[in-house]
Amino acid sequence: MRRELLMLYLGCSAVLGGCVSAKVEQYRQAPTRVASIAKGESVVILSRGQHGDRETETDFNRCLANVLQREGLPVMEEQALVDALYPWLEPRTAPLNADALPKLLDQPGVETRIRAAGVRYMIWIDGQSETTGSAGGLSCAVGPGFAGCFGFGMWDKESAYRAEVWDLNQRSSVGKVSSRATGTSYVPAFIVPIPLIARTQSAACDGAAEQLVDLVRPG
Amino acid sequence: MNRTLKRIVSTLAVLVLLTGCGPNRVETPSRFPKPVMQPIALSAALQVDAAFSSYVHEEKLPPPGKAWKLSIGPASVDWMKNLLAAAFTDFKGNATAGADLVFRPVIDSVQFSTPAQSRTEFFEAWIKYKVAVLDRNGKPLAEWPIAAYGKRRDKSLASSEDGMGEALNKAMRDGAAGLALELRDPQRLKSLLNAASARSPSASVEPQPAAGDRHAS
Repeated sequence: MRRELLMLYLGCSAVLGGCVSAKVEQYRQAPTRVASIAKGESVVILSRGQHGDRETETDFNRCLANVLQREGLPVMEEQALVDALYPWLEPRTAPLNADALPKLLDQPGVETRIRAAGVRYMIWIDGQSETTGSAGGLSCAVGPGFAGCFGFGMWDKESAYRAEVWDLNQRSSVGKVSSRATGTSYVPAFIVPIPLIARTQSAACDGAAEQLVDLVRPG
Repeated sequence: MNRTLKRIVSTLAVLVLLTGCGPNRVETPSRFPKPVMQPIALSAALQVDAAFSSYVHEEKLPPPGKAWKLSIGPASVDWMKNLLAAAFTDFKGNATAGADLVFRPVIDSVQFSTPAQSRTEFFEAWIKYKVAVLDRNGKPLAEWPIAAYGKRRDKSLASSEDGMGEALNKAMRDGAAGLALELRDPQRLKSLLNAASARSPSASVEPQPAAGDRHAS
């Protein structure tokens, strides 16, 4: 009897697993000819920290960095550059748009340190993942000789990120990329809960990384 | 022997319980990189009193929140010394005698919030500084309010004390950025320098090569 129940449970889980989805929308605004990154140059991925109530997750930036490195793009660690240019990349002083980039680079000592670090492109990331809705519920109980959860929970998640790429040699923006993924996660529970998670952040990361690599592909 | 053991165990149990009841103590990390600044050819000093250098913010949050004890003063002294040493060619530390400019900071107020309070993922900290700028005779030249803010996501942290410490460190880096902007503002700095040079004919107001550039050459 237990075996049959287990089979039924796994079967339901497999069917429900097929419902987990992620939709990625990509947008790229860039001129057709962007200077490819040269040998010895690197990119740095920076988070926007000006918003009080949100901040891009470090997981997302790490995911982007991993993909870019796999594609042969050297990535400098964010904190290393922020520390090297202290205090000019703090949320209060960091340029908010490419028009303000020359002012940063003209700050005495800044361009020297950027050249020393070999950074060619700054990739500014803005966005986050958030739960947009949820339904259902689970209840768990523990008793003598018994423990288990019952119920069904689900939630919608949206991961929306924008990336803007600045060429430090040209002192201008060379392109924008946006990636948005939505998905619904489910947790059916019949004694044991089985989470079926829609990995929207990972999908958005892959979408954005693909566009970014295409934008500044090594020459 | 058995009785002694029982006493030790009960004493330890009481101590453990009391430790759990104590406030969350946070010592703000003093991690401040060397600033990239164009040093100004003036001497400067930092004048801090005991109230500033040992400033501790204590606050008890409403239940079920705990009490917090945040040490703000020592790290605040560190970031200000670090910034002023890079901003002026001759930074005299706390030796104010003979300094063209004397910076005298006070902490006006401190606020913080925990993820449980704000229902966000962030520890947040606000520090409101006031920095008085005096000439070599102790005459006030300016007073700059600096509202510093820092936040730290609570994920992947060992403890809530770590999270609050990181938020405070970020707030102080933000304070340093604020003071750096004040020192960079040409108009404001010009009036300060004129006032200082009028009292100190030997003081030059010509900016010097930046620290990074000097090392590079």
